[in-house]
Amino acid sequence: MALTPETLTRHELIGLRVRVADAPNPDLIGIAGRIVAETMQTFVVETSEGETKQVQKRGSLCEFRLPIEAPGGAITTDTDEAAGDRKVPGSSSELGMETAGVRPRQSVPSASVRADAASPDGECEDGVYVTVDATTLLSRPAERTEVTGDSKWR
Amino acid sequence: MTIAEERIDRLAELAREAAIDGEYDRSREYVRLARRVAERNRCGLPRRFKRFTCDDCDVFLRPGRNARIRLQDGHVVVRCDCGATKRYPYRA
Ligand SMILES: [Zn+2]
Repeated sequence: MALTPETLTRHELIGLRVRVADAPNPDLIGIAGRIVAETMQTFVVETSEGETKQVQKRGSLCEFRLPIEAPGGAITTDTDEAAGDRKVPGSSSELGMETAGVRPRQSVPSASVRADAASPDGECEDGVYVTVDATTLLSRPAERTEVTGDSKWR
Repeated sequence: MTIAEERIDRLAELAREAAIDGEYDRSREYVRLARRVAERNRCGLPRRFKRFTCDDCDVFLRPGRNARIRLQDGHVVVRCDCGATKRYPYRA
């Protein structure tokens, strides 16, 4: 169960690169950096200047950069079920996210996924960019993983 | 490999990096979170994780930096800077 857009809401967020695309507090919009800590309702993001900023999850929209683990399209090909709201590469993140029927601990994020334009051959600064409505990430960091098992019997 | 085990591995790596940067409190947070994930998911912790974290203050141990390692008769003694001692056996 690698870190993919589907498992993101149940996986470890600390250490990921993130950019705050939208937030209720306008001062938080545009913060970018690395997540260094997480609480139930917030992230702590360390920016490139070395400052730490605490961003609330509720109501904000975060763009995560997932590292590419397997060369090739293994990660990007499973994401086609989100194809309805696939973004055009390079568009900014003003899509109204569909959050209909979001249970707070839903295992599949209502994420729109776009693979970076240069991703097929794994160049340096790319990765898979996932924009997630951070309201779906409201959960205790330690208890997020266990919620729904991977059992096919569910 | 479940998500929980992967999270534990990632957190161990993050804790190590934080300890290298001298951010010992951040390293403690990561170690505590990894332990909590392990107990919630009942998956245990890797042996390397157990041996390189302090049971008392939860910091990630770096031999020579914040931990002293001595070999004694049949066991290894690891003493953290906080003073806690951990021992584990070895076979010569
Ligand atoms: Zn200690």
